[in-house]
Amino acid sequence: MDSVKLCEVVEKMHLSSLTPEIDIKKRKVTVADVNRPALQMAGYFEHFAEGRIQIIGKVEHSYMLQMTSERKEHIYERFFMNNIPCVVLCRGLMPGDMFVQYARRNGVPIFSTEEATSNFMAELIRWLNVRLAPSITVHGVLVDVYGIGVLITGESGIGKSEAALELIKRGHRLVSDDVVELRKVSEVTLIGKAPEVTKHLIELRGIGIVDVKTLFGVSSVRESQSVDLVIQLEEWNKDKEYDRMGLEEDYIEYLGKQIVCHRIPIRPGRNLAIICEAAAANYRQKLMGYNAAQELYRRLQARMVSRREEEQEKQ
Amino acid sequence: MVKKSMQISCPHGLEPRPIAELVQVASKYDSKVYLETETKRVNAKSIMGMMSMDLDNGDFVTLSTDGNDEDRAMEELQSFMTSRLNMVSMVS
Repeated sequence: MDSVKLCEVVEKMHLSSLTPEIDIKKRKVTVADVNRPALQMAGYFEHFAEGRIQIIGKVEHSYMLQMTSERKEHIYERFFMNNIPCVVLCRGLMPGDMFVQYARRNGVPIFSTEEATSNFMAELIRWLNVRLAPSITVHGVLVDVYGIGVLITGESGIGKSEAALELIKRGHRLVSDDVVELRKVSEVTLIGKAPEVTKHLIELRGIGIVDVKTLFGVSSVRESQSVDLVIQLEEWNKDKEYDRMGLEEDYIEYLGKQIVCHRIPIRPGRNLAIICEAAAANYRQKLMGYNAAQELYRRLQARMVSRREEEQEKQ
Repeated sequence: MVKKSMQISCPHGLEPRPIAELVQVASKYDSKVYLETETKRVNAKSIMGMMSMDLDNGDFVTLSTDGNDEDRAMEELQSFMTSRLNMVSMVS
């Protein structure tokens, strides 16, 4: 199962530890959600989502303040018995001594943040959703062309990296060469990233590894980019049919998300970068509501209609 | 398609140079060659892919070859991996 190290959560969300003696290196978060343990503090432990980060805001805090010592003992004992990743107190609130005592006994770390509870929860859930999103690695090159994430795929040696290099020279930005980590961060968005090891690097057959960021500058690379369009390069096969109109769109599926896919036949002398650029620009235009293939269709239809009208007038 | 499981037994992890050589070996064949771990599946003909696998001592990998020369590819890759990369073949 996917997991995020608790250390990362702490660093990302700027949490300060109230139990620094507890070792958090091995702790992991596996659920992209949080729980506000108000009902648990009131003694109701059915359906307790123990795997989530527990967030204490003003309501829980003030409720805990008015609990009697015996009640606290009973509740905290049950609360910390569960396998909780950690507890976070918002608004800079401080936990009672007994709460900390039980947390320590069970090795559950407590953190504090100055953020308001709802804001903190929203940001934490958003970030966890991104980090814990289902992911796969695909073989291809991801380039940002006019703001459209174009994933170029195809067999090894067909010229993906060369196409990417030409695109970079033309002012577009490289996200990842050869290996792209795809993450489905929401139902509608697929984000591509480079693995840490090969970030900003490109491999050109015969030359070797080239660092795009140092060669072409910071503006030629990008950390991550949504994948909007797939360009599948393949060797020209004259028995195969290639799209000539673009009225209907082909799709390819990654992690259950459908992405527009163009199959482009390769022949010596075809300038791949310009084709990628044109595909991206055309995709943008379609997003803005204009489809050139439909326009051609519309013109032809209009001509047929007017011709028929002329004939009728003659009769 | 032919598949074979192996375990890495290099105390210091895998060096980049033999990995690059492995890519060369894989690229000689027409078959599709993939290396898989629990979380990743990478084209073994891609330098960048293989470098980003981040393999460590004790990791299990599955090598698969698929194509008209899959058996020859598997044989050479397997012997390369056991001799140069110190991998141990698993009996499957």
